[in-house]
Amino acid sequence: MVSILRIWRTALRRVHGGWSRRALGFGAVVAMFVVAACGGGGAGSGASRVLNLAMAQGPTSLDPAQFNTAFNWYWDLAYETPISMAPDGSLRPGLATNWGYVGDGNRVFDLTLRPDVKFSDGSPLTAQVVKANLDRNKEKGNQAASRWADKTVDVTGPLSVRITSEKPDPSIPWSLTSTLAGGHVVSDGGLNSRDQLGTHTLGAGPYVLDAASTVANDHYTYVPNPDYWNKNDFRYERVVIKVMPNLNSVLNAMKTGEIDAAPGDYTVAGAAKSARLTVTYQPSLMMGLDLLDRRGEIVPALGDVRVRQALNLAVNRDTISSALFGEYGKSTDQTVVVGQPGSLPAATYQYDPEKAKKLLADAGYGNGLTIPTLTTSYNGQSRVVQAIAADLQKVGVTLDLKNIDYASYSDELRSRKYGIAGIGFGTLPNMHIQGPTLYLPNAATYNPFKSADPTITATYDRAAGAATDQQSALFQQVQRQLVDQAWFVFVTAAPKFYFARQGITGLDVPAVRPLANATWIRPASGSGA
Amino acid sequence: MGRLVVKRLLLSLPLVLIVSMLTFVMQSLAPGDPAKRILGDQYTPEQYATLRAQLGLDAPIHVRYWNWLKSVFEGSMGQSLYSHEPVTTVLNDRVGVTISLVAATLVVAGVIAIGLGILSAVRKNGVLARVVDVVSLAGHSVPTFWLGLGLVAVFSVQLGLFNSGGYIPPERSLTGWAWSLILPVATLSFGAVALIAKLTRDSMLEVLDREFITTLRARGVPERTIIFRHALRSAAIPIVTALGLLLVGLLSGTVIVETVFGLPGLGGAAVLATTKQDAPLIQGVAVYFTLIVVVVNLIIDILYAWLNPKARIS
Repeated sequence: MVSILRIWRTALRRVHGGWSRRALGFGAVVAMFVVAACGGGGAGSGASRVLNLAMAQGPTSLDPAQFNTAFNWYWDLAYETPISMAPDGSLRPGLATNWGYVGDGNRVFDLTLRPDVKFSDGSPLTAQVVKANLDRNKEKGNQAASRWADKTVDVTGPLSVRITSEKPDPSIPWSLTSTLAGGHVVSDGGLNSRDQLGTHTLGAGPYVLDAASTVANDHYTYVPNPDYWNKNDFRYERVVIKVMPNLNSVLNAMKTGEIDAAPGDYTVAGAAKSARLTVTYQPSLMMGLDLLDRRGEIVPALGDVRVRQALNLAVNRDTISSALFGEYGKSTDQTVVVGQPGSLPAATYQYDPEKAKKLLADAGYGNGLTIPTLTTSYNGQSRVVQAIAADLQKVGVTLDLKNIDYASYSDELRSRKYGIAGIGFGTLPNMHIQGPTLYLPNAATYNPFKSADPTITATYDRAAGAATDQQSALFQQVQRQLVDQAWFVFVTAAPKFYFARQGITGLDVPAVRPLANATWIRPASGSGA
Repeated sequence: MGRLVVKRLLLSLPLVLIVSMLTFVMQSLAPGDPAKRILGDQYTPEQYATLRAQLGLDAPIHVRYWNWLKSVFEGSMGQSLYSHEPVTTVLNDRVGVTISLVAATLVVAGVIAIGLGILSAVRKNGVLARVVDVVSLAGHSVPTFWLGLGLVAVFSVQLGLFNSGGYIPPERSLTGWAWSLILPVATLSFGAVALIAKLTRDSMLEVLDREFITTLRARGVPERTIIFRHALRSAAIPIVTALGLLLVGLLSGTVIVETVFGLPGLGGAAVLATTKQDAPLIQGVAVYFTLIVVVVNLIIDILYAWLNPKARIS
C-alpha cells in the first residue's frame, strides 16, 4: 500500500496540467478504495462452517402455531418435534424415544419423551410442556386444528404422554413430525409469553434464532443451541436464511457462492443444472381439476358419473405433463402419484377422446357443455387448467374460466358458484391425512358441496382403524372409488425442487413427503464446502 | 431561509395526511383478508371473528383510520399484523438502506450526468453529444429489472467482482457497504443519468449562448471559470428541479432494485406489506416514503434558493 502511494505521488508530480493531476488523484482514491473493498467484508459463505440458505419469503410469524410447509426451514432449525422424518421417509426418534398405539383401533397413542432435554431458554422438556403444546393446537391451530380437534392429551408420567382420539387416527405419528403443523414443541416460557414467539425461537432444536443479527423479511440468523441434546450431531457455526423472492437472484447468488442451498422451481431447473448445481426433485403438487359439483346441483351434467369419466378420458395427461414440466413432471389420474401410499398400481384413464365423446353422448351431452370453472395463477394452476380446457374443448366441453387472485381463491371455492375448480394440492404422507382436507364431506375448501360416497366413507373409516399392514390395501380401495367415480381430473404432479452448490448434501427428499428439513443439510464428506 | 424551512414543513403536514388517508382507503378496498391469510385454510367462523376483532379489522374504515392516526400522535404506527413487531422498528431497520441507495444514486447520477452534459454542451455537435442522446434513449427504454440482472450476470457471476446481492451495513464495514451498493446504484442511476445528462446539455447550451457569457469571454475570463462558475450556476436551476422530481421515480425504482439485489430496504418492505395486506406496515411505508420526498424536496428548495437569489426574495 505504501509503495502504491509513493508511485502515485511521483506520477502526480511529473504530470503537467491541473486536469491530469486531478484525474490521477481521483484515480488513486478509486484504486485504494477498490483494494480496500476487495479485502473487506463480503456476503459470501466464507468459512465452511457457515451455511447460507435462501427462501422466497420470510415467515409471517416465527410462532409454530403459524407453521407453513412452504417455509419450513425457519422452524426446522430451532424447533425439534417428538418424531422426526428421516431423509429416506422413515420416522425416527426426535424429542421422543418411543411411541406406539395401544391396543387396536388406532385411537390411543403413547409417547415417551427423551430425558434431559432442554430448550434454548434452559428450561427442561417435560410431559406437561408437550401436553400444553398439543392442547394449544386445538385452541388456535391453523392446519393443525382439524387434526387435533378430537384429541385429548394426558400426562401419564414425568416423560410420558397419552393421546386419545375420538375417531381412529393412524396418522398421529406424522402429526408429531415437523412435516405438518402442530408437532413443534415450544418451551414453557414461550407458551407463557406468546408475544415473543413471533420474533424469537424457544424450541429444543439444534439452533436458536439470533434476533440481534436478524432483520425480519431480509435475513434470519441462527446460531447453535448450547443446550441441544444431540451434542454429536453435526452443526454449522451459523446458519443464515436470506429472503430472496427472485429465483434468478437466488441462482446468481448460488453461482457466486453466496448461497449454498435453496428451494427451486421448474422454470430455472435447467439453468441450475447448467450452472453445475445439484438439482433434486420429487413430485409434490397434484394439479388438475376438482369436480366440485358431483351431485349436479348447479351443473346437472356433473352429477352424472359418465360425464365426469368422460372429462378424465378427454385429457392427454402425458402431453400436458411433459409440456408444462418437461422431464420433471409425472402424469397421474389419482390423488397421489403411482408408488405413493394408497396409490393404484397403474393409471385408469388412458387418453381416449372418442370414448369421451361417446360417454358424453350417452349422458345426453353430445351437443356440448359449458361449465363455470374457477382458477388462480398461484402455483401455475391456471396454466394447467388452460391446457386441460384445450383438450376438453375437443370433445365439446367448454370450461368458462374465471381466474382470480389467490387471496380470494379459498372464499370463492367455498362459495358453491362453480362446478369445477382448478386445484393444486400438496402431497401428504398418506390418504388418511388427505381425506379431511380433500375428499371427505367435511373437507370445507375442496369439497364445498359436501359430496359423500358411502363406499369411500366406510372404507376410509375402516382403514383408519386398521392395523398398519392392512391400511395400504384399504386406502387403495378408497383411491379406486375416487378414481372410478371420477371426483377429480388430476393430471400431473408438479415437482418440488431443491438446488445446492457442489459439496453440499442433504436435499434428497423422500417421495412420501417431499419436504427437506434444513437440519439435513451439511457438507458432503470430503468436500471443502 | 429559516422561514422557508418552516413554511415547507408546515405545508408537508397536510400532504402526509392526505397520502396516509388515500393509502388506507386503497388498501382497505383491495381484495383479500389478512385474517384469513393468517388462519390458513382450516378455521372456524368463530376463530375468524375472534382474530378479526383482535386485529381491529371488524371496525368501520373511518374508525380504523382514526385509531391509526391516534397511535401516530402517540408516537407509534401500530404493529405488523403478522409479526406483531412495531412498524417503526421494522421500518427504521430498513430506512437507512433505502436512503443510502437513493442518496448515492442521486450523487453518482448527478456527478456523471452533469459532467456528461457539460462536456457535450461545450463540444456540441461532437461524438459526445450523440453519445448523450443514445444514452438518454437507452436510459428510458431499458427496464430496470433487466439491467440489474444483466449487471449481476456480467460483474458478479462472470467476472466475480461483486456479490450478486446483499447489503453490508456501514457499521460493519464502510468499504464493504459502499461496495455492496455499486451494482444497485449503477442499475438505479442509469435512467437518472440519461435524464439529467440531456437536461444539463440542453440547459448549458441555452446559457452558453447568452450575452453575458460572450461578455465574460470578451473580458478574457478563462473558459473553465466561465463554464463552472457562471454558466453552470445559471443552468443548474432546472437541473436541481429535475433532481427533486427524479427522487420520486428513484423511490419507485428501489422496489425493483431492492428485490433484484436482496437489499433490506423500504422498497422490499413495501412489496412485502402489500403482498400480505399488512395494513399498519403499508401505512408506515407510505408515510416514510412521503417524509423522504418531503425532506429531499426541502433540500432541493434550499439549494434552489441558494442558486437563484430571486427565489430567496420571493
